Amino acid sequence: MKLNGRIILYLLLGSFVIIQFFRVEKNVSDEVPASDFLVQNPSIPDSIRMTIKTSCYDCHSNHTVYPWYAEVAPVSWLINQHIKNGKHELNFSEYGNLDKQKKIALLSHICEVIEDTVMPPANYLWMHKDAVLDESAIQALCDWTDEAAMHIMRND
Amino acid sequence: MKKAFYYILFSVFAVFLFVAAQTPQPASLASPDDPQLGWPDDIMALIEQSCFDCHSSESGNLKAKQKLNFSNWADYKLSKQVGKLSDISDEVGEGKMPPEKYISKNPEKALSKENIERIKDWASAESEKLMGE
Repeated sequence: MKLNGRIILYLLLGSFVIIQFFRVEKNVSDEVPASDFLVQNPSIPDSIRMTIKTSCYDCHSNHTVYPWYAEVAPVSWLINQHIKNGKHELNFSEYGNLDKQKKIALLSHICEVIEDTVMPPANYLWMHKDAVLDESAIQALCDWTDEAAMHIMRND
Repeated sequence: MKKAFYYILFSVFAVFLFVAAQTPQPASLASPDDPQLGWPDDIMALIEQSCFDCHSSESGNLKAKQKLNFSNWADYKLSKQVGKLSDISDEVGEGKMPPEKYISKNPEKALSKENIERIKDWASAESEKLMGE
């Protein structure tokens, strides 16, 4: 029995070491394209810019700031999947490629998901306390997205 | 003299009450079944048929209502209305809405190809209108 327990432990350790060789490609483009949301909105207030960067860009842009545990499989695989899904829904790096209506829709969606506290997701906030949005941050972000949407409607 | 004054005051009040009772209240006109949105009748009929079961105040589907509730459309911000029109066009256009599961139980609620196109065309025209073009 004791021997069996030991064998299982070795097997687990062995497989843990082996899976570390299955690396995932990181989402760390250093180029900030002209289509980037924050580049496209140069007059965005600094506080809103910071909020979006800190609370959204890890999964919704081409550049993720990885925590140390993202190096360790299988966590790295999970994180990779989250980023993939996040970018599929919304990629701030490609915002500029959207047409007028889609831009307005996106701005409106941002406000909706943060108001409903669907975003940022709880499992992300668990390890990213600085990404938590309090009520005033949500209000400020929603006021800004609405203003930005109205601006697109009137001017672009 | 004083009495006559009271009679007149009373009758004016009575007439006022009568007129007030006859005047329709705009708020009570729009039932949740028929929000007055000024959309074309054919589009409204399609939406009522294929979307209202989940996306109106009558619905018990909280998640669907949260995402889109036609009964509250008039209260949505302009940017949200434009956003929702874009969503409607995408979801209906990609065949994600009405959902397959719902259609399998309610085959009569399915949208034909022509009707999908009609909804998409309308959504983009309505959105242009809202955006002031």
